[in-house]
Amino acid sequence: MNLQKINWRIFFKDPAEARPDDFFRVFNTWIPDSPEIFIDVADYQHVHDGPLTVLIGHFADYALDETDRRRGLLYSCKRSLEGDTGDKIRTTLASVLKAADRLVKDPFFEGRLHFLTNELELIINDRAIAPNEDETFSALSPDLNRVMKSLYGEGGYQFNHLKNPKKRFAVRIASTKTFSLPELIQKI
Amino acid sequence: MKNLAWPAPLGPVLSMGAFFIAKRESIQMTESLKNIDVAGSESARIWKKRLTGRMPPVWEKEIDDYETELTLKKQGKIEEKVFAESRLRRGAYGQRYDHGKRHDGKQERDVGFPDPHLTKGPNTLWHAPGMQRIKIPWGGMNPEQMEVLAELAEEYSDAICHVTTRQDIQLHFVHIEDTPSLFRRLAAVGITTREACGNSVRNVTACPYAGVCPDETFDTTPYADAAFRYLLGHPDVQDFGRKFKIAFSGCKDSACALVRIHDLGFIAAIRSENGKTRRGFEMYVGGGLGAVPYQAKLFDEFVPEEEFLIYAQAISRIFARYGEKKNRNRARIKFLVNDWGIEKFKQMVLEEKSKLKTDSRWTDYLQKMEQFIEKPTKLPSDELTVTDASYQKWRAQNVTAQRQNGFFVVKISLPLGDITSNQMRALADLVRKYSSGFIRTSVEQDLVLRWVTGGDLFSLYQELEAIDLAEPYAGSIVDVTACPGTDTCKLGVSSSRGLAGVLREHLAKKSFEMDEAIKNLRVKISGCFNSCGQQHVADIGFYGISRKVGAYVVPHFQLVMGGQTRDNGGGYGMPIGGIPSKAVPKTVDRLAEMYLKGKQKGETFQDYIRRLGKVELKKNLSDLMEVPPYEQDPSYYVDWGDVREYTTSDIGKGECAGEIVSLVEFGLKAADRENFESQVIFEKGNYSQAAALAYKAMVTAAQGLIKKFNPDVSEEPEAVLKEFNDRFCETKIFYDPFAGPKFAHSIFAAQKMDLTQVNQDQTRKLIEESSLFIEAAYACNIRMSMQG
Ligand code: HEM
Ligand code: SF4
Repeated sequence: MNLQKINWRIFFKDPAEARPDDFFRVFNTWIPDSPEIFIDVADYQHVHDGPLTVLIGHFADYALDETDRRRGLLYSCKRSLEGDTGDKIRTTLASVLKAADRLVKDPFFEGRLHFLTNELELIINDRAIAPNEDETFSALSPDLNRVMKSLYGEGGYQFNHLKNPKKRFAVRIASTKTFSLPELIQKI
Repeated sequence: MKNLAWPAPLGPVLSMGAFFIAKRESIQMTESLKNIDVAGSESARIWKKRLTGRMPPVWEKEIDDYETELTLKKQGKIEEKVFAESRLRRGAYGQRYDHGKRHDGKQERDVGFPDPHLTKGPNTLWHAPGMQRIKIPWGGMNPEQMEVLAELAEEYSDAICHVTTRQDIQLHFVHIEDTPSLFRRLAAVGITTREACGNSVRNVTACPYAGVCPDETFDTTPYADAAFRYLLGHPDVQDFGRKFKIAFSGCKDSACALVRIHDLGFIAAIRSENGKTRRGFEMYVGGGLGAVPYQAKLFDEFVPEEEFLIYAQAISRIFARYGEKKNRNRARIKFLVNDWGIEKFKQMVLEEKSKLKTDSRWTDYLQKMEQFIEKPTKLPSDELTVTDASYQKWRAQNVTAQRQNGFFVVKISLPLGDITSNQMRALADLVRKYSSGFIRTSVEQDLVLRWVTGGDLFSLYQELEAIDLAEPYAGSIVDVTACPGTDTCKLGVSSSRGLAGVLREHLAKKSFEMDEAIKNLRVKISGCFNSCGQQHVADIGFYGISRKVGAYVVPHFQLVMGGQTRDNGGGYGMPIGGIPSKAVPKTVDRLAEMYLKGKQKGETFQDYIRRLGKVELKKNLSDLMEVPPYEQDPSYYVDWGDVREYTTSDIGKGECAGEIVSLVEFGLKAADRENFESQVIFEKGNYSQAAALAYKAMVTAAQGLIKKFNPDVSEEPEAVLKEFNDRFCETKIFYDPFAGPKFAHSIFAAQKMDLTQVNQDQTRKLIEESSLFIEAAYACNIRMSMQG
């Protein structure tokens, strides 16, 4: 399986503190002088059950997102990834964790933002490569397991394959242990 | 309606891809090219393999050709302009920042796209994301199509489907290399993007209530569909100088299809002949918005149904042959109709029509009318008595009874025309459950469900509410229409979507205390004079402009009043004055308050505005037109929906050319005033005097600009124009970055007119051109001060 278009979601502890106007402002400060290629910030706070504020990038987008009615940070990789499946999972996961950590530390939020670090969602944003079927889950599980083991330890987590056939392939990962964002970043 | 998801085979289609390749002898069609894999992605390969043979064959071939061209362009083997037009004809448009630069409020910066030498058109970088327009003929979609659109938005865009002012769907931030897969997935459910942009026949639009409206003469859906299918890819529509838009309306009076703003428009009509009823159309031609708006002219009061496609073809051929090609600002058919006059145009079309070779498709569609008759899946039923207050508000605003007893039309108000992928999918299920299996988009950027039974209304409401699609604002002042503007459009001057979002929120809070007459006014906003948001046909319209205030440039909107949505967009509004973007919500409030206080018994808003007149209107708004100094309120210097300072304060600020600039400003302001006065005189019916003043305003603006270089410029118009030509036209300084010499030409054209002999129409146009010339002078001044 040539895994591509990996998305990650990490959710907020207190969603009301994650406001679209604030993200719009902060994401705009990420554009100049960034090592990543960022193009613009799109404002969709008028719609529901989808993105609210999107930092549009060339390689990846970062969004304050409320798809499926849960507010979180969405990382969406758009361009081709190199390496084996494990590497791809690891690099993309590191990107979303680092972005979350950067937001938490942004003085603009004055310490009000907190993420739930014991829950992650992986989405493969490509119905051709990753149809939402059991086979995709079986093909992906070994690599995903290896990465999660390094993060939460043996037996420290559970997978829940979200099987809605109309939606993209997605796996919720729930951990019994809680680590801080810097700890998770270090482990990965 | 089942067959609609799979279009009938299309007629002979000129394959642009094959055409370009055949012309380039140096390129051999090798095996490897046939199996080209442009995106190099596994995903693209899978879609190609999976969908081959599952698309209409003509469409499949076109997409293969397009994919080949894409690869050739990437290899540098196709000319820039040729590929750009080819991609535009498939709806793949450029987007803001695609030249690789973005201003961050302090300075312009490189976005840093990889491979900056790779381009997909003149000055358009390969890797810069673009907009994809998707044609939705007569706005009709079935649930399978809705689900595919939701999936494409997720996988190739940002999970937002945007409904446009011409019933299309747009996706933004799409990478060019994803387009072949996107096209294949659409084609497999019967949707094409062919000719969604480019110089050809754009989406054929129609009333979203066709077939169920109590006022319609007959259902225009089969005719709109026949026009779409017949003209799509037709050889006679491939050589236009500019786009061509067609609309169908079931009646004359309503605002649902806006026939009078279109290049070609059809209004359903019937005639009795020998005791038999014949169907046909009142046919209009030569309308169009944009910088110089024209109302379509009546071509024929009755074109019989068997002949309407013949007329459409003959008109296309005349437009292709005689329409302007070089100057794209005069290339719409409206200019041809206007230059020739409707009588000559008609004669030329009739001659052309008589020479056409018979085509069975002109009438074939008449045998397939049955498939368009939507049939309800449920028996009609009475409404339930529901006391829920929220439901009642929604019921009152968003629901209307159909012609067919016991069935209802339900309107879904989309904020800024946007809907998320999850909502679209959930809505597809509601279409299956509650309607006849179809939904329609509207020119108001909303969605319309039909064939809902009375008994189902409340449960549909509850299900819509659960997916946040039950806002009770359809067709009201809250339901603001807006073009993409500075969010994604390369030409945007001010943030039309930012303003629309703010206005929507602002007006929603007040909507339930509003007087009925105010509540149902229509607000439409464009980000620049190109009028994609159709502000000319709004009760209250706005288009984006900028104004220099001291050392800063401040985002503004030109207020346009007096337009008419009714009668198919039967009257165009006139500009009143520039309002700072940040003062627009207060301006709308003020207009509403003025009306409520000042109206006479039974007087409509439009009549009140007319009675008040421009001078009074402007006087009442003058305080709102002022921009507070930066130090007092810096928020005026940042547009809605943005956090960046509107433009380069540092360049303007430190400049020592201030004095000269202020002389220029002075001249431009005087020109503004003269233009305004010409409008007042125009309203009194004194056309030659109004025309003379409109022309004078242009001369004053030109004179103002010259003052930057020569403060002692002559007072003689002839001398001013000569100097203006030498300093600003020969040097191209005055030329608009996008419209080129268009505005400069208008002053020289006015110079040659005999202003003592002008009629109402000519004067109105001259005033319009004078406003645009002055606008262009402002823009030129801004450009000069930035460079200086
Ligand atoms: C010189 C350039 C342009 C002119 C004169 C122009 C003019 C117009 C006009 C007059 C309309 C619609 C009104 C109607 O006929 O119903 C329209 C539609 C539209 N325009 Fe433009 N436009 C231009 C460029 C653009 C660009 C660059 C964009 C943004 C990418 C854009 C976005 C739209 C959209 C979204 C619509 C509704 C379209 C549809 O579904 O067909 N336009 N344009
Ligand atoms: S009106 Fe202007 S800003 Fe709006 S979409 Fe059209 S060209 Fe762009």
